[in-house]
Amino acid sequence: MSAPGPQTALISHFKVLLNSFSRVYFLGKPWVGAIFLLLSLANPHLAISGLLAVVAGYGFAYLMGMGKEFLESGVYTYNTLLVGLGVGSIYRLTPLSVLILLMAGLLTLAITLALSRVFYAYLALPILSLPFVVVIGAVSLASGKYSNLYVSSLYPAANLLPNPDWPAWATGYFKCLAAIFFLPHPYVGLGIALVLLAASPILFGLSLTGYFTGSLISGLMTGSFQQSFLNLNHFNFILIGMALGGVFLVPSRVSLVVSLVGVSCSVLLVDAVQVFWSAYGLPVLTLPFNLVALTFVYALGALKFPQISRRILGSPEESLDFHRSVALRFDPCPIGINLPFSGAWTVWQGFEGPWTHQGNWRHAYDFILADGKGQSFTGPGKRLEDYLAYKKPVLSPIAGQVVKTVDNLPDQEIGQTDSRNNWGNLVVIRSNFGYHVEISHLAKESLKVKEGDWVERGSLLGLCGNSGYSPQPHIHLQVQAGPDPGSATLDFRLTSYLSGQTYFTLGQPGKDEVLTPLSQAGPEPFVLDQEIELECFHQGTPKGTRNLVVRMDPEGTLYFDSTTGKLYFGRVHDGHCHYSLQGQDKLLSSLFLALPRLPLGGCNDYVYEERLPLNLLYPGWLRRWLLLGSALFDLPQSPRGVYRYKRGVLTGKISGPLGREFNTEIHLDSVVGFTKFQVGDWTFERKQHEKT
Amino acid sequence: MKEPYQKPSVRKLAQGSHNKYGSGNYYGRKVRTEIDGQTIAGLVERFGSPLFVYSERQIKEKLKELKTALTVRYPKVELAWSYKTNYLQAICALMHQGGSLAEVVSQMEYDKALGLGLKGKEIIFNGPYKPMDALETAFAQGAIVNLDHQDELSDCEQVATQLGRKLKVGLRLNLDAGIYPQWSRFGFNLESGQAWEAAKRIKAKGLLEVNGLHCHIGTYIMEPEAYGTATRKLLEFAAKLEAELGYKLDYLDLGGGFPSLSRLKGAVLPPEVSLPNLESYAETITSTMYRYLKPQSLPTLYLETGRALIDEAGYLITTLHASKRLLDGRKAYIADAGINLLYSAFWYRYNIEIEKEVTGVNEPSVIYGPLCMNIDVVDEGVLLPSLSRGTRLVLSPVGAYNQTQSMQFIGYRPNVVLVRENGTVDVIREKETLSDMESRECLPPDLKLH
Repeated sequence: MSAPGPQTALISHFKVLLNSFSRVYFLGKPWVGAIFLLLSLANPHLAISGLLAVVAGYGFAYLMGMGKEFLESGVYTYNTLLVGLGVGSIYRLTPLSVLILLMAGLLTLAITLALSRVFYAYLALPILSLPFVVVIGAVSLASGKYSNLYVSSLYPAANLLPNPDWPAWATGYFKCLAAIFFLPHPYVGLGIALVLLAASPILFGLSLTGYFTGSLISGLMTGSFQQSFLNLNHFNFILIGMALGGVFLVPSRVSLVVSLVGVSCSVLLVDAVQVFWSAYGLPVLTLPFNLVALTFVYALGALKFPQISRRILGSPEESLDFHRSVALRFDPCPIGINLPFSGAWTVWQGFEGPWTHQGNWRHAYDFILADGKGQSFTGPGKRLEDYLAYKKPVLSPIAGQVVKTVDNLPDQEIGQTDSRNNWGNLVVIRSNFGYHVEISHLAKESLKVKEGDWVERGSLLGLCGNSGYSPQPHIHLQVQAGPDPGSATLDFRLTSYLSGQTYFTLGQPGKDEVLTPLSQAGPEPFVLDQEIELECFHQGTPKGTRNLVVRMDPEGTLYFDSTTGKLYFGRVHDGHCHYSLQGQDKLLSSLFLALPRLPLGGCNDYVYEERLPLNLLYPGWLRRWLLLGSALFDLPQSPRGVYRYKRGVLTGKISGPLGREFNTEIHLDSVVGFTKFQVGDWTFERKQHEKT
Repeated sequence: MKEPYQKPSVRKLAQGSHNKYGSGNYYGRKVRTEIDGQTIAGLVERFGSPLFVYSERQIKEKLKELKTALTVRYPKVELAWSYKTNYLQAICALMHQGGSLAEVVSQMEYDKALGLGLKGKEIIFNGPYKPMDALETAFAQGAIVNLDHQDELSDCEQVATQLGRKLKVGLRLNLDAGIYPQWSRFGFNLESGQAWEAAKRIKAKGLLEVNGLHCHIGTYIMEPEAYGTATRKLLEFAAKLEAELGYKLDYLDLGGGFPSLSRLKGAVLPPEVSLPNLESYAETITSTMYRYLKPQSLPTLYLETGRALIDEAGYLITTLHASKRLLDGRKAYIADAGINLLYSAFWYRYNIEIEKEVTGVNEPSVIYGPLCMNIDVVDEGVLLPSLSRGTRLVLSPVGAYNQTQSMQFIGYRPNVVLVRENGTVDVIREKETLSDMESRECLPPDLKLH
């Protein structure tokens, strides 16, 4: 790959600048930042101060050689921007004010870096605009002594625009919205509101609900709504509403409730801080927002609230789309192990089972072999030999080292159990990732491994038996932290199997599900630097040839690069999965739609259902409104694909909101991945001889 | 569901162990009134006699039994339906729907498999006679080809040159698994070093690559341990291939040869007693594989089981056309089905069941077929009560080889039906007419009588 030219470098630096502006309203979109920058020119002193501070902070970070992703995101430089804007709102541009601007800007960057590390490491929290609160407080306190600065630079905040004659609540809302930028003017607020509406209907809605909930409660308390709508500090309600409702939580009705609760509680803080802080001559600024948002996010995190955003993206809509199509597609449970057998076995007892899988031992599975009618034995079922599971191979579900074995306990006759040695004959294997897997009730003297042996996934451990506390021959499987038999269990998932006919990359099957492990995967069909040449047809008419190149991003994720888009993919537990699409590209979105996932181990016949990201099917503006609708009313449902694989061909039926329905088909090949695929009217055919 | 009302009836217990003489030779007899719910009389009324009848339920159950016995022991198993055992389209299609690949041994069988919708890579191509164009098609379509002899090896190298790429091939081996007679006419011999020579030659030329081993130790093998021996020898050979020539095994094909419940002539014990079950074959093969293989590189285990899957699911209904007394005093019957339909009668004794209960004392009887040929004998000595003309007998198991090896000889071949799981009966091969028999004949005009 060639290094980016000076022009692209300049563009990316400029994007950082713009991103800092858009991050103030929790958005990561350069075009939004550009409009905010233009709006801030309503007060040129302010705009230029802000720009200067960012450039100083960014330039310093750049010279120090800080990471590219870090700089480009805008998350780290937006505090510097806020400080610049804050200073610019007090002092006009003079040499002295520029000096203090630079000092404050660099101090903010340093505090941001330091605090973000501490917050992330100890609290797993973002720092929001705390550095800004600290620095601007310091500037306010210190500048009381700087008489020289006062004389030369202090100016009444210029009011270049005429004030409109709007009702108090409207003026109040727009002014507060603009006050976040230190430009409390209704027209600027109107501009910002329109941009929010276009870029993120969810954020716009949350700014309304946040502001009016907070202001109405404050008005009720003080007895004057007029007064409440005049209070500029109420911009905190907007920020809290947006942060809790759409940024740190995945947008939904629940997050809306949380955001309203947060705003309501923050009324106390906003009013308290006002009294306390102003005694020292400090502006209230975003302190209440920071306190409330951080406390709520931390508290919800401690409760393991399921709807906390796992990744904060460019807008709440993107986070929601990500959550629905990635977070829900890939279970975050860190431990995934294979099934400990071959062939189709039945779950006899699952997690939190009614008999023995309780309390400390709730994360465990019991498997039996059953015939088509669910019966686990033939004949009268009085002898061990009648049981289908008896003496069938038990295979290692992980790679690791055998740390404990018991091999000499007798197999109990049917109807008898050994409650003194309740785990029976067993193997405990320590995974290379630190956890332990215990497999119990093996047949007497059937073990093929001994303590100290290293085993692979699929190694023969022994034979299924009926030793220990076991009413019938079965395999007991559990994951635990320690090597001692019967240690407390850890949560885990099973990987790469069919339940009935349905394929699971990772799953937690329930009682009576019939599970068949898929055999271990061969090599990935797509390798780095591979070039794939495809001929495109629309309704049978040739539309030229396109090239895809397999590349790797800095985090190590592979993607298909079509120059206009990136389709990320990877290997998840013996399966090939497409993660997400960046950019717009018919070829890449079609490939994703035709093949969201693929088990790489051999399997001739399976089905699965997949939630698909909206950006594969809908343009940006439509997507945003669909997401707002789906957040509030769970409607319309996110697009789904139902896939069926049979003998080399994966066919899909895709249905999405607004009546989007079409079929997909992809011809798979065990060596090159795929040879041909079709999505709706489009067909893509792979050229035969490619460079690899 | 409520059972439909059935009128009570009194039946004399003259059958099997219920009669007062026990199950001895004089009164013991076998009766089969129906096949999967279809009465024998009803079937003959609709489809005529003789009639081949297959049971879909039995086919599926047997397939599932074998598949389960293998897959619960070993993760990578594929069954390949041996076409020559029975290549009626409906039978093959049932096997393929049940997940089996196709094992073919000729161009004709290959074409049949393609015609049923299989792809090349779902076909295993075996056999000693693979003409050049058949090899070309098979390789171009990605079929699995197991080489039988040195000349075929040269043919494959020629195909590789034509196609311009390295071709993957399997080697068919014959070896001493303790089975007598040892089949040595197919494939390369292991113990004499033939197989190793072939592999070295392949390596030296570099046009082919060995990725599989095939071995078929024989047919109707009653000793599971023989498969254990064969597996061990093949895997030892595979280890040598990998260590010295760098060939890694994708598959191990143990052929077929599992017995069905048919009774060989001269066997003393009934097959239910003398034959091991499918589980013991699966156990021996897979436990040997675990002993020699690493879990990361398990080859796929192919089995080309034919007879054990289909034989017991096939029945032949035949009607007694006449009876006579032979010179030596034996009773003889002339049935409407003979060795033209029952090729396996040469080495099997069928289970002969009467369609209804018949009273009377058993006597040694001969069943002849309808052909005007001395060799047309279905059974030389079976104990039967005196049967009247028109009585129907059910012969089983006849599902393996009889269909494919039946002859267009003297008479027409009859209907073949499949009793479906849903209770209906489908004709899967219509009975022949004169035009079927003459459709490929050409009568020179001057020889015409009119």
